[in-house]
Amino acid sequence: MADADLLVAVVRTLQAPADRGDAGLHRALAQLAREAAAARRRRRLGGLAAALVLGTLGVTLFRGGGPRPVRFAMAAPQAAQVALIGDFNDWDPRANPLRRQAGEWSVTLRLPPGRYRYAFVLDGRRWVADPETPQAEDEFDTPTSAITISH
Amino acid sequence: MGLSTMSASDADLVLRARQGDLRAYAELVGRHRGGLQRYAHHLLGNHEEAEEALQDALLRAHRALAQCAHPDRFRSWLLAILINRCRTRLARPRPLPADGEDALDRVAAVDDAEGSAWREEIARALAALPADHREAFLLKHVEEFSYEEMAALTGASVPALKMRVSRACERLRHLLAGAYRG
Repeated sequence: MADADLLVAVVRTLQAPADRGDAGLHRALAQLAREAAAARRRRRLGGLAAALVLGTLGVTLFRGGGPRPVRFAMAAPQAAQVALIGDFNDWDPRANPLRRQAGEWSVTLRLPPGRYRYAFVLDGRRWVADPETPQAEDEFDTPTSAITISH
Repeated sequence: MGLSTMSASDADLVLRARQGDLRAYAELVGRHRGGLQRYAHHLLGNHEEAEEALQDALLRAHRALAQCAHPDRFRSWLLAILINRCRTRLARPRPLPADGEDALDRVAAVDDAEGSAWREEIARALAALPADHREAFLLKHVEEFSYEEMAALTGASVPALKMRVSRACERLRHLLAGAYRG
């Protein structure tokens, strides 16, 4: 009888809800939201490219100036690898790994003027915002930074 | 979340999510997150790993929504994906404990905040079980699946699952007898 009570107590304890946060849920939904936004952007760019072929939008598109070098840096002495993810690479952690130099991780990209949301991924799993730039709005409270490259 | 999604069935939400409605997917997984988190947490014995396994499972499930043959049984389908992600994590080499700390100590640290030595004892006892016994015990007694459902989820036979659950119960009784105050 005592054994049965013990197991009932174990199961009740294990079934009790515990407030452990929703980090996994939020991170998954945030990534899906970004992938959806990137897909929408790709479709829009496809439309613009078609318009360019027709010769109707060329001047507008090129008025903004060309890409410029932007250096992304992160101090993460404990990390074994750091990747840059953002609107410019479809949030793909394989696209732009950072290199460690003099204790700092960095990578330089050439980006056209515009506003970009981005973040760093440490060791393939920890998603952190850039502490040196403003936090960006985010649908699911995932740490995200924003940078604006002016014309 | 809009009122329109509050009363929608899982099957309705799966169909909307398949059409690209991310809010429907958020509602869907939000409904089942408690059990999913609980399962991953108890199986892996590590909060961070459990959250990563859940994140991984949710991303894979979204990409494979078209393959969810029975949208009304979304919870079981998603749990089967999570079970696989947890098994993959358990099969990986795990980091060596630092300064005597192990995964259970980290669980204990989380649970300390809740002031429960009993929870710590249970976490230690669960971690002492073979992974397939722990998996079977959690599915049967904590998530309350039938043996037939468990067989579909895990790919193991019903007799094998019954044996694992029985052994797990026996071991838990033995390990926790001293800590149980009735």
